[in-house]
This record gives sequence, structure tokens and C-alpha cells, in this order.
Amino acid sequence: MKLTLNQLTLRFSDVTAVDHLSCTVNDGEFVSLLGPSGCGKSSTLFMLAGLYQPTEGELFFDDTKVNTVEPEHREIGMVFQNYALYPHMSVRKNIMFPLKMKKVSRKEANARAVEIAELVKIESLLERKPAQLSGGQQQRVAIARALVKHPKLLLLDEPLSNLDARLRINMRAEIKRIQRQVGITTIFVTHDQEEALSISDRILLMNQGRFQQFDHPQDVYLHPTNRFVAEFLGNPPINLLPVNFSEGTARLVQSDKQANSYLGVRPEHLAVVNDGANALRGRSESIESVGRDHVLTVAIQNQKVRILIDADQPIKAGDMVYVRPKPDRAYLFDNEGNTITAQWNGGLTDD
Amino acid sequence: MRRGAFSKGFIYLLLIAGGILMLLPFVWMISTSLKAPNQVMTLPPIWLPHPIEWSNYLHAWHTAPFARYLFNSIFVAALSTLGVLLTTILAAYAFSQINFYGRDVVFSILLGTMMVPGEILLIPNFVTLVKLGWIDHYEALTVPWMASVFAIFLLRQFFLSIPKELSYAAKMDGCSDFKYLWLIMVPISKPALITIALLQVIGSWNSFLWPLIVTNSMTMRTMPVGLMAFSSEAGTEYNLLMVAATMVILPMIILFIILQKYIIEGVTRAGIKG
Repeated sequence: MKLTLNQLTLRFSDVTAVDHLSCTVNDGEFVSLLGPSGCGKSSTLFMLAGLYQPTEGELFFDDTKVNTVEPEHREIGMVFQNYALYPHMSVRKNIMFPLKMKKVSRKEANARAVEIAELVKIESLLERKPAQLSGGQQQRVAIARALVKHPKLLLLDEPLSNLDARLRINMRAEIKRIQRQVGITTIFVTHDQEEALSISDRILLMNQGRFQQFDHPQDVYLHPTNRFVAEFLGNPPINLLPVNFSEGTARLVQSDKQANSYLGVRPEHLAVVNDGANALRGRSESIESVGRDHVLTVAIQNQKVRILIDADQPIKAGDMVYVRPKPDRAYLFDNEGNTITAQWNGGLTDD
Repeated sequence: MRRGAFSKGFIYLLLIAGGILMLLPFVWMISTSLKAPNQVMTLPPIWLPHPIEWSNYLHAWHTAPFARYLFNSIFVAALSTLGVLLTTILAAYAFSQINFYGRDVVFSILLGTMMVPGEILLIPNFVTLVKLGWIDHYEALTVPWMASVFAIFLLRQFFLSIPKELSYAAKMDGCSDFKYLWLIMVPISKPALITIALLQVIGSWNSFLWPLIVTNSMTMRTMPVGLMAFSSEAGTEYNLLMVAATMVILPMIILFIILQKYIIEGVTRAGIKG
């Protein structure tokens, strides 16, 4: 099912949770809604679900406007952060419940419940109560319950945040597998960038209720449309240097007050080089090992930048080094945080 | 270890002493119910009656229409309990799930009524029932007890502890508010509902003053009121009175033994959540 949001807005008494959000999600696509807490991603999901009514704007499922359609008539399945399983019912009854509400015959409901249980691999747990299941198993039951009525849209509200790290990665792959197998359009809310980058076809980034960027994971990461997106994605985070940008050359300045723009470069797009051309001179401060990578911290004047380096690079703390960004992987942002589209020729000085 | 065992022993000793103290009146009641009239008031007291007068039970049973009293007590307890459960479930749902104007004010007022002593309400309630023409009818015994603010409060707290996502999930599954209440919330709240039902049954069973003032005829009286049959101006037949008291208490003791787990669970729950 195709999903169209047109200037969708949600206002509570004095807060605007979602501010004129527009986008189109294609049939069968897996889209993550990503952003910091309180950015409006869950509110957006709840509007899709019909649990919140949009204050303004339009919401279309295929070509039908559904603004005022009740949740039960929207043909959607939803999985909640705390799973929201009915604690007094067995797994089988939980999965059959949506069908029971639709007055599907017992026999058929049971057959469909078993079928979907096999898909999510919980067929051996059907007689258990939710309290007797692990977090990952409860998660699977919740997905089964959401999918059993063959909805056209699957909504997932931070489904992995209650699981431990290892299980989370497992379930991530499982959710992706199930989604592929069923071919259902899926909206996945998360505040975990790694999760969004690994699982989605496209990522919709939001901040303070506003649209930021809607693109494929690699494009969101490599071509951020503004400073927020650049800062939100990436670990360790992007380096931002205050610069004065004019005539294709960026000059590093001492303080934010003197800067007319910011140069953003991810740690993996900075290289330690031997010559000072278009590079910044600084003192290596520390090298920390984070698993496979080494993170070198260099002090350039009063700024600190982080660089991912190979473990075999012979740099010690206290060395003077030159640091050069890859020009096509560096971004310039103006003081408002918007990307400057003006051509930067890679010119960079620190005096 | 040794000290732990010692203090444990001491605690058990205290508990046993407390238990005996609690049991004593019941033992005394049963003992008296099996005594001949001349053994009731002797000093020092006779703990084990000799001979055992089983005939007291037959005698007492025929002194007053106890079969009728028993029926009335059971009928009134059952009806008022059902009523309380129904009104409590609906009210608790409204006060916990529906956001209507003035909800919290109304709820505060309801809670406020809990501070009014029941005795103050006796006369106004009595007058109301007279005007309704309900005196000496089952309505008078049951209808005024079909709502309990305490029960509403207890269940509301329980309902509030049910995560909101559950109602969202039910809504997505095509479940109406009404079905959500009966198919999801009520089954989940079973422990709280059993507590409420038990408190209501016990309260109804033990009530004395209210049935006494709203009923006149023998056929409408309940067991506790029926106990008065053994007191007269000429004196009280204690052995027969104790027979009747035993008959009143016995069903409650059986109920307690069967549902002990729920009663204790319910009382502790009420303590924690309330």
C-alpha cells in the first residue's frame, strides 16, 4: 500500500508535535522514522494508526483519504514498545484475537494463527502465557498478532528498545526477514541510528516535529541536507569546525562568533597527511582503541577533531600532524545549519 | 545462624500466642453452643461441656425460621455483590479511561463521601426508602449497597496500572471500548475483583443495623438479625444464641478457607496500591 502524508500536522494544546510533514512511502517499502526523543516520530506513527487525529493536513492510504477513519478500519497491524500482549490469554488466543473481533470462524482463525506462528517461529509456544516468554519471544508474538489479519501496513513503535543488545541485532534481522517474506509496507520508529541504517529501505529523519531528510540510508549518511542530520548520524559523531568561507576557501577561525559557516567532516573522512597543503596543523592528543578502529584526537588551535586511523599508523600522543578532509566528503553549513551548496574547492587554511 | 533461629522461634511463639487469643472466642462460642443452660454462666468457666447437648442445634433451628433467614442472607449477599461488581467495573472504567469534563472533581467528591460515617446516613436513607415504598422489601436490603466508593477506588487504581498500549492494541485489533472492558480489562483485574466481591459478601453477610431498621416482618430478616430471637426481656438464652452465631459464622469461615489465597493477596494488594 502506498502512503502519502501531505502537510500533516499534530498540535496538542500548546505544543506542535508534528509540523507540516509531507512524504510518500511506496508499496512494500521499509521506512524508518528516526529522530531524537520527542521529535514527533511516535506521534506521526500514532496518526498513521488512527490513534491520534491530525490537526491539519491530509493522510492517504493509496488514494483514499483516511484522516477520520477509525483504527480498526485502516487495515493496519501495530507492534508496541512494550508488546502490549493480553496477559490473560495464551499465545494462540492472543494471535487469534484480531480474527475473533473480525468474526472469522474459529477453525479458520486457528489455522491462520498457526500459519503466522510458523512464519515468526513460535509454533512451539502457542499454549504459553505471555509472562512465560522471553522478551524476544513476546516480540515475535506481537508481530504475529499484528500480521495475522493480513494488514496492508505494519507499524512498529520502537519494537527493539526493550531487548538486550545481542537479541536486538537478531530481532532486527528477523523483522527484516518477516517483512520481506510478507512484502508489507512497514513504518518503523526508532531513535537508534544504527538500527535505522541497517534495516530500512529509506530513512525519514525528523527533529522537533519537522521533516529533515527522507532518503536511502547511505544517502542520508553521506549527503546530509543539514547540520542536524549530519550531527545526528554517525558514531563517533561528525567533527564541526567554525570557518570563514569565501571564494571557495574555508579558513579556520578561533570562535563561533567569527565564523560565517561550519565545516563538517566525519572521522573516517579525515586523513593524517605529511604536507600542509589544504590541511590543518594540530597536536595529536590521544589515541583510543574502539574494537577494530583507532580514534585519534587532534587539537587544532582550540578545536578538537576525531579521526579514524589504521591501527598500524605510527602516531603517538604529542606528535604534530597535518589533517586533511576528503573534499567530496566534507560539508559546509551556514549559521542556521543549512547546507551551503556553493562549490568548495577543498581550499583550507588555519591562519 | 543460632541467633536467627532463636529470633525466629520467638516470633513463632508470639504468633502462636496471638493465634490462640484470636481463636479463643470461637472456641468459647462453640463450647457454649453445646452446653446445657445451667453450665453457661458458671465460675470457673467450663471449657468442655459435659454432657454435650447436640439437641441445642435442633432446638435453635426451630426457634426461629432460620431456613428463611439463611436464604435471605445468601440472596441479599449475592445480589448486592453482583450489583457492586457491575457498578464498580463501569465506574472504575469511566474514572480511569474516559477523559470527561470534571472527572477528577467528581472522583474527589466520591472519595469525600467515604469520610462520612455511615450512621449519619441511616436516617436520610431510611426516609428515602420509605418514600420509595421499599421498606420491608428486598430492594431495601440490596439496592443501597450496590455501589461502593472504596471498591471503585480500588479497581480504578488497578485499571490505571494497566498499560495504555493494551487499549491501543485492542483498538487496532478491532475491539470496541465496551468489548475491551469486558474481554481484556475485567479478566486482567480478576484478583482485584475477587477482593472486592469478598469484601462485599462479608460486609453484607455481617450487616446487622441496616437489615434491622429496614425490615419488619420475619420473612425479610437475615441471619444476624435473626439472632435477636434468643434475646427477650426475660433474658438471653446464651447457649442457643451461640448455636445461631455459629451458624452465621460457619459459611464465612468456609469461604475464607477456600479463598484464603485471594483474600490475603487482595488485602496486601490494596495496601500497596491504595
